[in-house]
Amino acid sequence: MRRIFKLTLLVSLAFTFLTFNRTLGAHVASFFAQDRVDFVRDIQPIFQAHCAQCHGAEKQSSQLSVLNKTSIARVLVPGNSKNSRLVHRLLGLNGEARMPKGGEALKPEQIAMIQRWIDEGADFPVSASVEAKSTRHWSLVTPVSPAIPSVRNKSWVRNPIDSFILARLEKENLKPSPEADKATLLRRLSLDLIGLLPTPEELEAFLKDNAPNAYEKQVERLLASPHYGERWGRHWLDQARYADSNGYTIDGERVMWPYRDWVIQAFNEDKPFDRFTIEQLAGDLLPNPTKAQLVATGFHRNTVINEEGGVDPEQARVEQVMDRLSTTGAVWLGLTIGCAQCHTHKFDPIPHKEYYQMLAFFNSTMDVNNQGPVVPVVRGEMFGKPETIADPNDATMARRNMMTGELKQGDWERMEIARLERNPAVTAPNQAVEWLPFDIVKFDTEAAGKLQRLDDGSFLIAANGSANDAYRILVRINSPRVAAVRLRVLPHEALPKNGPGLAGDGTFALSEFYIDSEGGRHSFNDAFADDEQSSFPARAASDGDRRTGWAVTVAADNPKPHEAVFVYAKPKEFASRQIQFVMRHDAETGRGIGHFAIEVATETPHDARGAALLTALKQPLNARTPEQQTLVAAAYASARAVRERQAGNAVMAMIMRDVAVPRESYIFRRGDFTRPDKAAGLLQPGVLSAVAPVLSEPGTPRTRLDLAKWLVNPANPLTPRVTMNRIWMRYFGRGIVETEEDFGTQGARPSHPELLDWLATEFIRQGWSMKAMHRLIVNSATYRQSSSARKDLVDIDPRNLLLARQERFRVEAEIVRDAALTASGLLNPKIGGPSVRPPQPDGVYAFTQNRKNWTTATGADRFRRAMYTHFFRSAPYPLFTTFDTPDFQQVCTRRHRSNTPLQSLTLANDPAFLEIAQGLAARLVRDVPGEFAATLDARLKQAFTLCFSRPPNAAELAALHSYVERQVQGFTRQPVSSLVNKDLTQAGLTEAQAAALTAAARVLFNTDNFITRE
Amino acid sequence: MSDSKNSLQSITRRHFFQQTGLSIGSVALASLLNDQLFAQQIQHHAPKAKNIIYLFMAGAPSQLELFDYKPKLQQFDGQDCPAEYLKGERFAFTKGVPKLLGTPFNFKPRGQSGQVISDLLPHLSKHADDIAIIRSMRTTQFNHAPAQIFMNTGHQIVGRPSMGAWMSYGLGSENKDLPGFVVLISGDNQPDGGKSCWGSGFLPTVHQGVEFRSKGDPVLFVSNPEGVSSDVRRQTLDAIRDLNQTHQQKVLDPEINTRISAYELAYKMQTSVPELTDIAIEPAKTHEAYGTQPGQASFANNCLLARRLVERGVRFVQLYHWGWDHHGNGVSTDIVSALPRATRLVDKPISALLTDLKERGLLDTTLVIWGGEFGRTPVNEARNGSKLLGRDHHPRAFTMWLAGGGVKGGITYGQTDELGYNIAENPVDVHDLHATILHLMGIDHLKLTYRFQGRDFRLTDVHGNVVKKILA
Repeated sequence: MRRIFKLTLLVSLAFTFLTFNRTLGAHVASFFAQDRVDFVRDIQPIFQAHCAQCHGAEKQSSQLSVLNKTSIARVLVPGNSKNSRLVHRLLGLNGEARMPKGGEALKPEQIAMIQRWIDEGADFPVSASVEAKSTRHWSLVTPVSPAIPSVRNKSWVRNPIDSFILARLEKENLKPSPEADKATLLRRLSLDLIGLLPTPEELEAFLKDNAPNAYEKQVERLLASPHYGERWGRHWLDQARYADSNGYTIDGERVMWPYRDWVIQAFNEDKPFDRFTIEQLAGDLLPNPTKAQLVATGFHRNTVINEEGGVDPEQARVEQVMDRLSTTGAVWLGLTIGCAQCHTHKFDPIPHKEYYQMLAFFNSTMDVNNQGPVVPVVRGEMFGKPETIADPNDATMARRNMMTGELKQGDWERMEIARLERNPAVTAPNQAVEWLPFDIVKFDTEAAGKLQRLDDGSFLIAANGSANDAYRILVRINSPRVAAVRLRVLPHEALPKNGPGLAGDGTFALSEFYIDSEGGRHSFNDAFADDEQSSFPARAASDGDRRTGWAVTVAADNPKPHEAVFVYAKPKEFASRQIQFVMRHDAETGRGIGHFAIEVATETPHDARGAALLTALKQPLNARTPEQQTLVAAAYASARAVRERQAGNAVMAMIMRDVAVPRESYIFRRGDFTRPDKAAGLLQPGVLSAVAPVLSEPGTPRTRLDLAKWLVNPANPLTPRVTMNRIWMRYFGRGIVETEEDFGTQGARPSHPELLDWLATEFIRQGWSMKAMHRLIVNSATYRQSSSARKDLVDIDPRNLLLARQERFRVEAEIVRDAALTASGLLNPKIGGPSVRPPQPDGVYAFTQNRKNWTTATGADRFRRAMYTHFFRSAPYPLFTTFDTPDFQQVCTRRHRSNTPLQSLTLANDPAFLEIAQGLAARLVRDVPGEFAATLDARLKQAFTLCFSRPPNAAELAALHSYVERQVQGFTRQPVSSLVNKDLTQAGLTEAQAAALTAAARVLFNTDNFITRE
Repeated sequence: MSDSKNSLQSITRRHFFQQTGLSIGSVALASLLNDQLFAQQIQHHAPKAKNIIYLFMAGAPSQLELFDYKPKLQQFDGQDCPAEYLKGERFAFTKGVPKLLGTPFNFKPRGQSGQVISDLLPHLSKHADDIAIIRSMRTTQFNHAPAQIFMNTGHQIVGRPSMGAWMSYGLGSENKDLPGFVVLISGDNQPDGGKSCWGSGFLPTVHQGVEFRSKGDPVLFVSNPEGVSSDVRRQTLDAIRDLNQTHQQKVLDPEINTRISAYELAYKMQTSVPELTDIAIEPAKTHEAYGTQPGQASFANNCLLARRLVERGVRFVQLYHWGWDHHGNGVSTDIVSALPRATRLVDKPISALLTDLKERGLLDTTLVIWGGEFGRTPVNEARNGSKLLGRDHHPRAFTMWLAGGGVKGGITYGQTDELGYNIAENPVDVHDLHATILHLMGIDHLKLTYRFQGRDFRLTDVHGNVVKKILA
């Protein structure tokens, strides 16, 4: 009996890191109860089972390892268990938390055993003492470029990557796979680098090229292709949680495509990853930021926004700020920082407090839920080729009236006369009207601004609200009739330069002013003011265009009150008498009105200046007085200035800015923003102390720029590893660290740790060049291997972790469509710009709360790459959802890759794919002209080349050939017009032949081969 | 079966597993590695229910008009709401000191059990002895979208898997020709939470709810292109299979076999889905009972479809019916006139569904759940001085009911205070409801986990207690 136990003990000791069987431990304890306590036999197993996870070889919480003789000596007094801290902690004495923390208490007999051991002298054999492996988790140690391992099969090695891979394979006595054939290589390379299939011409050129560097030349060609930026930009957009809508119920459209353009351009110009990082996280904080650097900060404006009524703006703001931190953690650090929102991270060194210190970096941004800073951007601007002329095909732009292009004076005069004649204030009798007060029901702002009412009934807003806040004042009017509203802007000593605006120079820019009542918006028909800037006339605050607005000239330090009067063409009757004034400030950043008052009138007041202008305009040019000429010239100049602001295709891109005075940051108890822990003190922005390097002591307040620089500091152990691991993942289907999103202690260990470190250090050595890293990987022999399965690997390495072959995997949703578009030749290769709306089935928005605008593209935009398809978070394009594109409510660092019947139904029956199949059939007829039967095999071979970049083998050709013949017969008996493209019949095919050829194209699109990168 | 085929299958499974994401938990492993992919289920204990029909009343129906009768509220109707209730309270729309609002409708005890139910639900009242009414539900969210997402995913911010996705992940489907989680929508809108309400979050997308549409194809792209016969479809499928097999022999990737199977399943769905959704073949008396009209998009049609889906083994059927947001700020949201119209649309079909399930012996194994995302205030909202009656959003107390599959019928659980404002007894949190539902399906809510971004996630997050008193 005793021997058996001894044997068991030996076995369990042999596996030092296996959890000791608790029951066995207890048995042993009682069995040996009469003997002197032996550390190895009696104590070590208890420590192993209950303490070593936190205080062992791998990890030493509070620098304590109970398995190390020296370390444990700190917490015990030999011969005196009563005074030993170890025992106190196990019993939970002295008000300290009982150990094991968060686990079950040790059994009384186990504690008694430990006490006896201490009382007997705490004998700890040196041979049993285990040294701490490392005080740090592997991923937190700054990588050092490792030695390149030597290998036996030196001729296989093309670059150091191969040495690392081969050394490991040779250790397992495995041979790498042969290089894939050239056709497969080019298809693989094209899909991986640009996400498009090679054209037959590209394929032919490569097959004919017998130069030793033929492959490398293809790599360079593809890396230089502008489509490279699209392919790798799309991967990045996953991490940026890019979408074209705000999310939640309302899910309104947003302008985010300039940021997408910026990403594409950044990849194409191979912006070094450190710059790439800094510009996206803190471009606005760089000295004199360029517009591109501002647009780059759109990265963190990709958060979801809840536009529902009754949303607490502060709660929404905090949720977005938290999302920004967890996204930053996932993308750059590969750490699950979000876990520390409610408590100190259970497994990784992320204390609760440090979470909130890191959060503080993001806590001072201007945006508050749906209000935030913007910058005007025109199409092509991010590519350095601004298109100042609007696209005539763009319906929205065309609708945004004829207000584009040069404004000719004759045209303007006609429009201006019409406007003035519609303006009732121009024709109203020239007499004073009574301006009436009203009862205030409620007032607030959409974002964080704190509006206050002064004793004289005017409103004042303290500076430092949101950059583009909107004010809402709900009132009860005494008479239901409203003909006009007067908005007075007033100086105030609390404002910069005494106001009346919030801008540093005392100015403001009111973009829109209107009334909401009885469930509807009641925009004014026109407006006039006693003072206005030429490019900001009062009427522009009633024109429905948020890019334009009203501003007054502000005399330095001596501002005067001014007023604008907004009029209705016909006085309105508000039966409920409840009306809400809304003042928007979207045209300019940080230029809200600071001090103002509002009154209403039941009669229309007279606009003397408008009347004078109308009179002048009605005079023939040569009959105008000098005063009239001046008046007209000023009005014309103003109109042109406004037109310039509307200039063609400028849109307002969402960017990041900080408020002037940083917000106060505290720990939130249990992650609840309503429970700031003020007792714990105000927090300064800070980084994770467990991750090198240490931030220097702040001279000035730390900002996002400090955070960004810390992330890409070469001493940061995580950023280069995490980034290279993800790049690797795109090429081999899996990262070297498989849990690419978790480099913490709960994540997977790297399969090739030295390779990962080599790649990380090489990345920095090559100046953070992503193209250099792509070049390195795709030129390796490892990458060039065949992906075919090998029987000899099935048992040894079934998951292909050692990479004795390449990996076969299905392409992403977007590439499924892009591949079909390339094969058919329908692809419109245009890069960048606003999102487009290709055909989608009816009813996708049947139940969305707000009907979405989906005017199906008819022109060239119908066949753009899938990454440009407008992405509504609440109802994504069906193809995307079916093929595992996430809905981008949060960061996505790795997509799932499912294989479902819904995918089959989409590829087979989605009319969008049917249209592309018709396109492919038409292309086959164009590429191989001739009589149907005589050319059939040639056309099918061409189809294989287009779809798979290879010719069919005999069996494949025979199968497809007989399928087509059978379909021709079938369709002759029973015509199917839905498969017939008129280009085909015009080329001389019968309807049955045309349908059969389309059917064949459809078969090819539906094969596994087509949607798989081999 | 030959050894080689066996080993090939085992590679297929392993491969499938690896392609779906490595962080997958052991639960999914069990279901994904099963031969038929869809047939096996995990059990932590013997399940009481096999299927769920969840009637989600989006917009939040008023518990005070339907299930939670408050005599004191009638007594003090029109008086100011006591200040102690309003201290620190935030409403979505209500301003100032609101007035208490007694219900304009009558309540009576029903059935043997004497459960008190409103006259607005005459048909459901006949099932008083079948349903367990929980009057003490509460939530943390008071806006529609976050509250619906919370009710469906256990978290108010979008991104977590929905209850149905968890079921599909944990239990798979019983029917090889149909998805395990089906969503049917009726009413004025899609639920405010959008597709996130039935999304798969970080679970593989195969687990997301499949929306059966009321117009066009019931399942997106289930119809062949116009004029393409099922013969052509079969020949096409065979051609695709031939090409796939030829290629498989070359590259030996078992994933290709999975794709061949997916195409076969898609082919079966092309037959099974239209057959399933064709309710016209139901007898006239069924249509009469449900109030269904084939070809129309209605809640009644969806109820009948739900029965047909459950009959075929679909694990989780969720009906969303939007139309309960009775604020009284306009005639379409007036409690007096609009609410009775809303209840008329659902009362008869729900009753018919319960009867139908019972008659077919399905109610014992089908859990039926009814409820919205939060409750409504005991005070009149009177937005902008509206004279119509209406109630604002109220997360503190509301009513849901459960029936069938392991639930004790004819009981009321939990109480609100005299005014129906707060919960007085036995509060049930959303996480508790989730824990209870999972329990009835044979799942321990603490054990159904999925690792994502380094953390094991559960439907019940770090909360949840099974409400044992409503279990049969």
